Amino acid sequence: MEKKLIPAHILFVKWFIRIRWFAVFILIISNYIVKHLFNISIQEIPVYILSVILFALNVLHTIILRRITKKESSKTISKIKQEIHFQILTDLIILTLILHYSGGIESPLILFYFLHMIIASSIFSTLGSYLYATYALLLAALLASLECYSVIPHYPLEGFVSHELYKNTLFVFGTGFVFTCTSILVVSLSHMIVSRSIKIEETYVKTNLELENKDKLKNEYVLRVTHDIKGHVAAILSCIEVIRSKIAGPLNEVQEEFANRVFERTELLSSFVKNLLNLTKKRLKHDSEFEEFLLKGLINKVVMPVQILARDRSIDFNIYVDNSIQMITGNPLAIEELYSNLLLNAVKYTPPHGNIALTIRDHYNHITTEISDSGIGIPKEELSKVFDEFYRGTNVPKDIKTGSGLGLSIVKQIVENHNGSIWVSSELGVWTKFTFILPINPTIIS
Amino acid sequence: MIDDDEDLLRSFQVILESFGFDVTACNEGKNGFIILKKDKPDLLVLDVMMSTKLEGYDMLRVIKNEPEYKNMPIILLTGMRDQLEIDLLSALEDESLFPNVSLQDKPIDPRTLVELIRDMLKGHDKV
Repeated sequence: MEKKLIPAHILFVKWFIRIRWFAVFILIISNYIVKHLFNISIQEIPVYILSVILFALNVLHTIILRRITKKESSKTISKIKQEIHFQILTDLIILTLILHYSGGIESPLILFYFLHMIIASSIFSTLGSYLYATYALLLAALLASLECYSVIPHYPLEGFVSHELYKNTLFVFGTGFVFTCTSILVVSLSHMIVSRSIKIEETYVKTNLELENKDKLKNEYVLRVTHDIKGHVAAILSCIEVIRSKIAGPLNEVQEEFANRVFERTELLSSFVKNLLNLTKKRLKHDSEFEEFLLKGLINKVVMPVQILARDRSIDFNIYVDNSIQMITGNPLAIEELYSNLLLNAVKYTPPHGNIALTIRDHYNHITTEISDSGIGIPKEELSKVFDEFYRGTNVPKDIKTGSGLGLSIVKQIVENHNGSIWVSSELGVWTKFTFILPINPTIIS
Repeated sequence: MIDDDEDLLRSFQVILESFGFDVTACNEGKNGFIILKKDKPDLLVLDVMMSTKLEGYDMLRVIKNEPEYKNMPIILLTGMRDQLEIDLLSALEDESLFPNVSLQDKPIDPRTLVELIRDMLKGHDKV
């Protein structure tokens, strides 16, 4: 869990550094405007110098962050926290000095203490947040009292606020009191909000993990059950084969009809069970061993039986494969199944004299495949359901034997196991097109 | 033929006999050896997933280690080829380690089995 929070911390520090670049820029510009456009008596030179110091510190922070993130280790998170401590501590000192040269507690810049209090309370523990609030308050109090009792000079913002206020003890303590109260409120509020959102995030991550585990358990259960069913179905099939093939003696017409019915139904059940087993194994990533292979060779192998089938049904079958496509990485058996399932589907749902097309293109480290047909199409409202388990098109004619309803779920699982994506588009009664994109090497992209 | 599923065993026995083969069926691994010794079959159909996970493989190893049976053709039926370890799988497919072994996924179509048996016996005769 701790490890997962590292990117969030890094992002945070990066944001913090970006804000600081912006602050340096605004500080220099507003220093110039205040002095020369509004003629307010700000200590221009010291503020410029402090801006430059802040700039230099930010360069240092950037370098430190780069060093920390260069290689991740178990210490990364504590190193980043140390760096945030360093940033807040130095920022508050610089802020106090800028405050000193821009009117002490009369300066509106005093509000910037709150920013660091919020930042500290969103990252550190309750104790840490209040310690930072105390540190900021002490710095402000030190500055105010040193100026109030003339230990250090006061640089009033003449032309902005009444410059006698810093000597008025009631004003100094009154402001101090309000400032302290506001600080405590800000810190407790922001700390509460942040810790609540962290808790929610943790619950979310935990729930997700639990769900994944439950899903895995479910799949393992399905795998076991299906495996058992498969054995029984195989035994039934071979037993009925003995009767059906009349080895055990002749059958009358009705006996033969029923033997055939049992046989066909059991065969359907057998293919369903095989597909379910296949899908579940893929979900459990039992066959996810990847290797490099020549895609063209695989396509030639897959296409052959489809061509024969298409010719038998007078269907025109066009194939185009980019010449630049060579080796790809994946599970060759699964990729073969992917192409074969989609192509056989295309032939199955395309009436005689129609056409199907397979197009494979090279696309910046990815290959894009389109398999289209001039078949019966898919109703618009069912397009989002085609990859669901047990989906069967409502427009499929009775004489087309539908399969287990798992073929496209298997297809989708294969594409996902290879870090690809797949989608379908169709016009009812006119055409259907499946498009999928696979990375040439899925192990790199992940 | 050695297989722990009695229904499968019996139906295959009837089917194979209808094709003219002389079949001795056995549903327990340990009796298998007795039959091997007694009947001296020309070919063995062995289901690898018997009651315990490795019973079939162990049997194959023992049979192939005996010079008398080293060249006897064996058809190995397995319901879980994809769950086999790669090492074991490649060992099984290695002719020098296990000569004359054909690995087949279950369930096997009876006609395919008949063809395979004919092919293997033909090849064996030539040797």
